Amino acid sequence: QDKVELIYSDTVAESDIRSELLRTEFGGCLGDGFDFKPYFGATLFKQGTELTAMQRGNLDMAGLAIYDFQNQVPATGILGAAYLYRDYDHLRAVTHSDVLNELWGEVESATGVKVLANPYIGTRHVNLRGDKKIMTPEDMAGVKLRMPGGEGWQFVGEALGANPTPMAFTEVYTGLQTGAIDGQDNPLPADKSMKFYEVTDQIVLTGHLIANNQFSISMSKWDSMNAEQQGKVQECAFNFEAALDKETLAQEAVLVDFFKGEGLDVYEPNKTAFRDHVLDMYVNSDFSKDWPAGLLDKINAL
Amino acid sequence: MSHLALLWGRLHRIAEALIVLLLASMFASFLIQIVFRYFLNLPLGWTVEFVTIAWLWGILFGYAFVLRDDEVIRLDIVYLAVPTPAQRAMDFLSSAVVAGILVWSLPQIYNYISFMKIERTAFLKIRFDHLFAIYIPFVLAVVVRSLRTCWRALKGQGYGPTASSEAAENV
Amino acid sequence: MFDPFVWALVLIVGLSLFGYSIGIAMLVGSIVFLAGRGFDTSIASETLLQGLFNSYTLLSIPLFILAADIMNAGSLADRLLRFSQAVVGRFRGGLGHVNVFSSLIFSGMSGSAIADAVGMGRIIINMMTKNGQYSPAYAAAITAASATIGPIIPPSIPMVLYALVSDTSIGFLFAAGILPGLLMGVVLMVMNGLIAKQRGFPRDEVVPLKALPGVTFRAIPALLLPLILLGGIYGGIMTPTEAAAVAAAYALVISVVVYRSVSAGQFYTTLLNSARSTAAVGILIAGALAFNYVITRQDVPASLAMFIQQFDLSPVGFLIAINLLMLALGCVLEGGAILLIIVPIFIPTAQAMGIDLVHFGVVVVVNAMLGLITPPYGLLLFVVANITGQPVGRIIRELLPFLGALFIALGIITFVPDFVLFLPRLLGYRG
Ligand code: NA
Ligand code: NA
Repeated sequence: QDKVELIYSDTVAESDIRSELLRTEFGGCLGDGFDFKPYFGATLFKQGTELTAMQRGNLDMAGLAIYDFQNQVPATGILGAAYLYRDYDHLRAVTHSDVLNELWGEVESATGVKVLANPYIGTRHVNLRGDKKIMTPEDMAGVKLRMPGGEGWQFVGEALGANPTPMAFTEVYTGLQTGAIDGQDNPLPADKSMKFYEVTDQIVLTGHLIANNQFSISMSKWDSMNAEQQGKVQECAFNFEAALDKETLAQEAVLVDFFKGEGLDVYEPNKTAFRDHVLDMYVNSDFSKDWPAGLLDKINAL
Repeated sequence: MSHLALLWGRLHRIAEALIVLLLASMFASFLIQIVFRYFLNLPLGWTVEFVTIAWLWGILFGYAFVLRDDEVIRLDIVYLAVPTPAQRAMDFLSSAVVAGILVWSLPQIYNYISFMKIERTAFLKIRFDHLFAIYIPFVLAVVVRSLRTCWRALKGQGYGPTASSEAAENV
Repeated sequence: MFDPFVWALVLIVGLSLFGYSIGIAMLVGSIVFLAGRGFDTSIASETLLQGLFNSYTLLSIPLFILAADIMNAGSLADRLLRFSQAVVGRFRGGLGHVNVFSSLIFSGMSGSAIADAVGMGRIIINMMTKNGQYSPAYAAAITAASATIGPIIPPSIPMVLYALVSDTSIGFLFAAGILPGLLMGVVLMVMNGLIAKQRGFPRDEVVPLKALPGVTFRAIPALLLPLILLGGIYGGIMTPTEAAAVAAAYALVISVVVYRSVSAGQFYTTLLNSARSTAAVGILIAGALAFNYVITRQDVPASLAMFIQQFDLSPVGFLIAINLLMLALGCVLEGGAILLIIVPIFIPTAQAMGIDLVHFGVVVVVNAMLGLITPPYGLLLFVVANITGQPVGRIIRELLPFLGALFIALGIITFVPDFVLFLPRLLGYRG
């Protein structure tokens, strides 16, 4: 029997621990029946173009961002909303329950792409220059906060009360150093690996996004496999998810103390004030008009 | 004949005006972006997207309809060293191969462009099939220009003056 | 032999040698590779379109081109030269020094070597050869040699291309180019001084001290541009991409308002020329983007890394090998093409060897610029040959000492990373 070839594209750098885990915990787990070929650093397909590549049958698997689905399945917008999940446990309670099944079903039929797992990649917090204490969204007024490009991200920055600014990721360090921007938002491991802590003074533990990837496979590839192979791929996807969760949580656990040791002020703001403000802005904007009715309540109830 | 040449010249000047407009609007959008972000503290998202579109269209449209053959960046070290009949043979062969391959792949290219109707850009919400539509006339123009080179080669004529340095002047 | 990758390579090299557009050759080669592997051939077009659409840093290229074109359309070059003359003209071989010195200043405004040679080069060559003081070949040689500094000192189009393929910060790359660029200027001036002494070149007429303030004053608006650009980038006012727009706007304002030397009609022509250059360079980039998919899918960087591993090279040995390869390629290939096609396949190996990618970037960009003046294929050589009407061979003979001086600078740049990385580190770079 022929090996199943799986071409995978990711934007994460080859040297990143995530890439390492992907090779061992997913690729290694698959065993001899598969030929898993990952390409890292967006070398094969540019960020944001993986979904269409999968739909056209030119790519088998990718770690997608939830925003990648929004054009084709507007209802998925809810999963990219800030403060949708309270914390990591809430994320897992939701993804391991059946409340999202209907939405994922819609994604599958509309895009021809199947989401296998949602590995956790860290909780995004606001990281700022200066010593102005931030407790509520009002305190963020006038803060030039770098957010990734794209309307959804910029809206998150706005909802946090800041002036969102798009800027290329590679320029963020200099931007912070020179004061072109006042802050940025990323999970703690990224703050460390990109050395943002060297050029900022505080980390406000806003926890506004429990970031996770949509580890996906094209339906055409999925349907070409037999039940046993499908089972293996699904099993290994969960295996990878568990391993990456564990790694991310372990990193986050030690990083607060690390940043404090580097002289940063690390503290939790009034998260309820942020959460209420942000969710209120969603509900009163066009961003929530495509959200599936009642889903927010179901998620909140878990 | 002269009417045709006149019309052709006019079309060419319109094409030139179009890429000038694209570059000028790119330039202006960047300045607007800087002013809004740093002086009014109002970051704009659409400027980056608009500038990217102008860049994409400027290159493809400009290459297809404005650039003269002698402005294209090419490697003429061997080409210029061989006698004229050999140059004509090289012109004919290379242009015929390019035209053939592009024509052959055109259905797939069309398939991709039209497929992209399912995606829209982040800020201006432009459908990607519209955004990328310029690629089809671009490919067609490259094909037509290659066929013209073949025809000229058969008649014993070359590209025209080969001063490739002028257009490559900014790398 | 029937490997689709080999077919693609043969086709690209063949079409290029036959004088076909290199950008389109790469697109067509990529299509053939995809077809040979049984893939969807539209991937080449997809990669090209998405690559152009998704690379924000590339947007600085048309604007740097525009800035250089505006500067060359106005009287800015003229005023810079007069200022340079007042500063360094008084030494033996004066106009040679003026040539290099003015290139150093111009390089702080322009991202392109050819723009320097075409704009300022034309004027200074006339000055040098007017009274038969310098041979046209000597004037052409030192003009070509000093123009290579243009893209080493920021701003720099080749560094933008390198940032694209290596994913390094343009801000740090720009900072890393400053000292190497100055070093290249110094070695060229030393060489000019030595030759001047040996051949008894004249001094330029000494600009009287009381004229100095006036000459400087008239040049000030131009001299401010490098400061505005660097201050703007490192002072956090603008990104390097936006700096390109500011450079163009500033050049336009001083040319139109202050120097009153560019009319509306000239501005239109300048925009048109810049747009043409953008399209010419853009198609080269577009083809390289399409071909980059082929290189990735064929796992070329990994195979190459394995191949290099056999030789058990040290990082220094690897850098020497890269220098030799780049210089050899520079003799036959165009600089932009080298940076876009050849350099990316070596980046993973450089990284694995622990070579700093910003340092590596400066090394390869300097190499690519030297490729512009190494025979037989060197665009700068053709430009100055065209200006002076001298045969390339005679220019090359005069160029050899300067090439030697630049090789010494290249050696220092290659083997003393601390020298290259001094300024980026000062600005917070960790590498
Ligand atoms: Na010069
Ligand atoms: Na420069």
